[in-house]
Amino acid sequence: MKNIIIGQYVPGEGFFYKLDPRTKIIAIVVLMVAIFMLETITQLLITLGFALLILIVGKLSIIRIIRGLRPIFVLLIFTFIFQIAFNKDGIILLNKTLSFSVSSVIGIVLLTVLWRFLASFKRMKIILFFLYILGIYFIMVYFNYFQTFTSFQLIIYEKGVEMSIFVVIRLLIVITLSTVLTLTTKPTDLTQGLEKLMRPLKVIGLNSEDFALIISISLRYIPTILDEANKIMLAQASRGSDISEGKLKDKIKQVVSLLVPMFIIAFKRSEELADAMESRNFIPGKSRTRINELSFRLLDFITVFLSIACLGASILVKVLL
Amino acid sequence: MGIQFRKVSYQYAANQKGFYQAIKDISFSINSKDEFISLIGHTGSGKSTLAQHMNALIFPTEGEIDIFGSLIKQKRDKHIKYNSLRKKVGLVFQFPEYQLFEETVEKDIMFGPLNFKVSVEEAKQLAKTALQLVGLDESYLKRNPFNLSGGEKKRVSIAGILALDPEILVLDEPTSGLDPLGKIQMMELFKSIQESTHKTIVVITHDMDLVYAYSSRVLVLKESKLVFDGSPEALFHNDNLAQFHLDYPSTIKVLREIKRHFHLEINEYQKTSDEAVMELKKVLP
Amino acid sequence: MFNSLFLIIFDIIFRPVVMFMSYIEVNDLSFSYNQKRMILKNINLHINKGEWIAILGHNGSGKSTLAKTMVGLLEPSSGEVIVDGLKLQEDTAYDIRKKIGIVFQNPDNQFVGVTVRDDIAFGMENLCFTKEDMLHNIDFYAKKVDMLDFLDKEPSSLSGGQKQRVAIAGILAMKTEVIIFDEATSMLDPYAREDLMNYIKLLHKEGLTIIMITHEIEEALLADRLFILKNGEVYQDGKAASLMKDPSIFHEAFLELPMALKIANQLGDSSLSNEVKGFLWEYSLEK
Repeated sequence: MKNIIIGQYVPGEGFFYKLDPRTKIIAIVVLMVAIFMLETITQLLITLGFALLILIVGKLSIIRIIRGLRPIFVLLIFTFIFQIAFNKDGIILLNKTLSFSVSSVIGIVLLTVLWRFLASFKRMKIILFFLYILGIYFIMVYFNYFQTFTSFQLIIYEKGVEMSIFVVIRLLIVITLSTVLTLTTKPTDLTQGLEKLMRPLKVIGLNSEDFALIISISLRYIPTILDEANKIMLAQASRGSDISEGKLKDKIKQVVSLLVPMFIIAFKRSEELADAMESRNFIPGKSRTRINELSFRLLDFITVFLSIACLGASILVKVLL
Repeated sequence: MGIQFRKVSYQYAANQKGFYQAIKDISFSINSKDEFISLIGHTGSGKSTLAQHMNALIFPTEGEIDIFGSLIKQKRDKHIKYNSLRKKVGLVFQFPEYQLFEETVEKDIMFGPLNFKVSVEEAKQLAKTALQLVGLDESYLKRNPFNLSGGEKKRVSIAGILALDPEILVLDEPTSGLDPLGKIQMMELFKSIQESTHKTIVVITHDMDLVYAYSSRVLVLKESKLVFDGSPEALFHNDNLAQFHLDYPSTIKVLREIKRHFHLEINEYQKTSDEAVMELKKVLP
Repeated sequence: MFNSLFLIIFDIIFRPVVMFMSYIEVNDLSFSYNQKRMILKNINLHINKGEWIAILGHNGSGKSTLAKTMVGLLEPSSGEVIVDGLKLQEDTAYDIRKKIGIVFQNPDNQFVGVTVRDDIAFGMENLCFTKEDMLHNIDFYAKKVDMLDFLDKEPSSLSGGQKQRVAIAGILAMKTEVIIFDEATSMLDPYAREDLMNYIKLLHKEGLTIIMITHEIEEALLADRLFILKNGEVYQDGKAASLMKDPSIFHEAFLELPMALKIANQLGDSSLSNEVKGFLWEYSLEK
C-alpha cells in the first residue's frame, strides 16, 4: 500500500502537462543559459515576475512550488551568508564589534535554552531561528560586561548584500524552473524524453535506449526496495540491532547487517529479472518498438521557439547594456 | 505475564488515499507459557503488522500493549528499554534473506546475543545450542549461510532468534516455501521446543492442516479486526468458515466429502491422516 | 547391409511422424554447472501440442533447471532440445522463445514495466509489434486475466497473484502457445494459488500447451500427465490417473501425498473400501 511520489510528480492539468518532455528539457536548458547571462538585480526581478506570471497562466500552484523549495532552504541561507562574508566592495553598511565576554556568553546560553524550549512547540521554527540569531547578534554587540575574552569585527559591505540578493534570486528562478519540470513530467516520460534527445550519442558508442531502460527499471523497483529495506531493518531490530545505540564499531556492524541482505537480494533479483527479460525476447542493443511514442505538437514548437527568443533577448541585453 | 493487547489499532499514511488501517481495535492476551497459537487470516488482514507489535518493532496508533510489564503506547517512553523486549519476545520474519548477513552460520546466529552484550564465548555456546535445536548439526557452523538450501536458511534464521532464548517465540509463515516434508519437520520442531521448554509459540500461517494438527488456540484476523479467538476445534466446527475467508483443513474436507457421498456415520473432525484413516476403518470393513 | 537399409527407411518414415507429433522434444539432455555434480542426467521428454504436463520432483531434483534449458536460459552439457522442429541453439533461441513463454516463481522479479500496461507490452516491444497491435493485444489479454481495470497501476500496488496474471498476459500477448509455469504458485497464499490454477485450467481448455513445474502433487494431478524427476533423472512418466494409484512412486520420489490419496492408500480391500478409494481418486483428479 505504500506508493511514493518519485521526483515530486503530481498529476494535474494545464499547459505544462501537455508539453512533450523533450520540449520541457530543451526549454529549461535554454532558459537557464539565458538567465545566467543577466547581470543586474532589476533584470532578474523582471524575469522572476515573468516566471510567476507563466506559472499562474499554466495553472500551477505557487504554494506547491514554494514547498518544493524547502529542501534547499538551507542552501539559500548558506549562499547568502557566503556572499556577504566574502564580498568586500563598495560602501560599508554595517560595522560592529561582536564580543565574547562573561555576560555575553551567559546571555547566549540563556537565549539558547529559551530557543530550544520554544522550539519544542514546533510552530514557526524558521522565524524562531531567525530571532535566535538576531538575539545572539544583539547580545554580542551590546551586552558586554565584566571581562571580555575575545572579539571580532562584523563588516557588511554594500556589494556583499547586492551580490547575495542577486545570487539568491537567480537560484530561486533556476530551482523553480526545474521544479516545474519534475512536477509536471512523469519520471518515465522524462526518461523517454532524455533517451530520445540522447540518441545522437550513439555515434560515440552510448546507447541511450539501454540507458533509458536501466533508469525505468530502477524507478520501477524503488518502492519495492524501500519496502525491503524497512523489513530488513525490522528483522535485524528483532535481533537487538538498534542503530540509535552502541559504539562506532557496533554501528558499523549494524549498517553491514542492513547492507548485505540488500545486496544479496539485489543480486538474486538481477539474475531472475535477466532470465525473465531474456525469455521474453529481450536483446540489449536490438531495436524495439514502443507503445508510448512521443510526438511533437504545435504547442511544443511554439514553446521551444519562445525559449530561444528569450535567450536571444538575453544576449541582446548583455551586449547592448 | 505475557503480552496483552488493549484496543490496539495501527494505521499509516498511504499516499493519495489518506490512511490505511492495518489493524483495528484488537484486544487479547498471550500467556508467556505453554500456549501454541496460530495467527491466521486472509492476505492483507493485518497478521504481520500485529506480530510486529508484539516485540515493539511498531508502536500502535491507538490503544496500548503490555509486554511483560512494559506499556507500549503511541509515543516513545524514555524509561522503557524497547530493545530488551526483543529478548523476551522473539520475532522471526518470513524471509531469511532479510536477516542472514554474516560469513558463517555461527557468526550470524551469534549476532543476536552479541547485541545484548553477551560474551563471545557464551554467544558461541548459544549458537551451538540453537543450531542443535533447529535440527542442524555442528558441521553447519562454519558454512556460508548463502550456500544453504531454502529450508536450511529458514532454520538458521530461526536459530538466530532462539539463541536469544525468548520466552515467547513468534514466527511469520515459518513453513512457506518449504516442501510438504519440510513443513512437517518445521512444525514438529516447534512442538518439541514447546514441550521441552514450555515457551509460548505463535505461528502465522495459511496452512489450515498445520493449524488444526498443532495449535491449541487460534486467532483469526479479517479485514484488520480480530474475529475469532478460541480453539481450532471450535473454529472448524463453524459451518460458514468462508465468512472469514478461510478454508477447512484437508482432513475435514476429505472426510466430509466421503461422509456426504457414502452417507457414512463418521466424525470428520480428525487432525491427521492417521486419525482420519482410523475413523474410516470404524465404518469400512 | 539389409539391416542398415531397413533402419534408414524406418528412420525416414518415422522421424517426421514422431516430429510431427511431438511439439517439444528433449533428447538425452544432461546438465551440470561444474563437472562434479550432474543436475540433470539423460532426460528424455516428448511433449505434444495441447498437452498439460506436470514436471514433478523434490527440491533439488532438477525440475527448474530442466525448464530453463527448454527456453535456452541454460545450455545443456549434452543432449538437445527441439521445439516445433527447430533445434535449440544460440541462433535459434530467439525464435524458440516466441513459441514458449515461462512464468517464474517470484512475481516481483519478473515484472519489468513501470505499470501493468508497460509490462504486458514489454515482450511485444521486443518482437517489434506495431503500436496498434500492441494496444489491441494489451486490452484483449488483460481482459482475459481480469486485469483490465489495472492497466495503469504500478506493481507495488498489486498482489502476488495479480502480478502472476500480468506475466501470463504478457506471454499470451506475444502469441505464444506453450507456457511453462516454474513453481509459479509457490510464493502465493492458498487463495491466490487456487485462483491461478483456475486461469491455467482455462488456458488449457483454449488449447494452450501447459508445462507445470511443481512439488505439490495436489496441483500436479490436475494435469493429464506426470513427469517425475528424482535426483536429476527421469523416474516416472505417465498418466496422472494411473500413477496416483501407486503410493510407493511418490514416496520414493520424496514427495508427500495429498490428504485424499494418503487416506485412500491406507484403506482396506473390501468392496466398500474400494468404492471409497475410487471416489477419492476421482476427487483428487478433479480438484
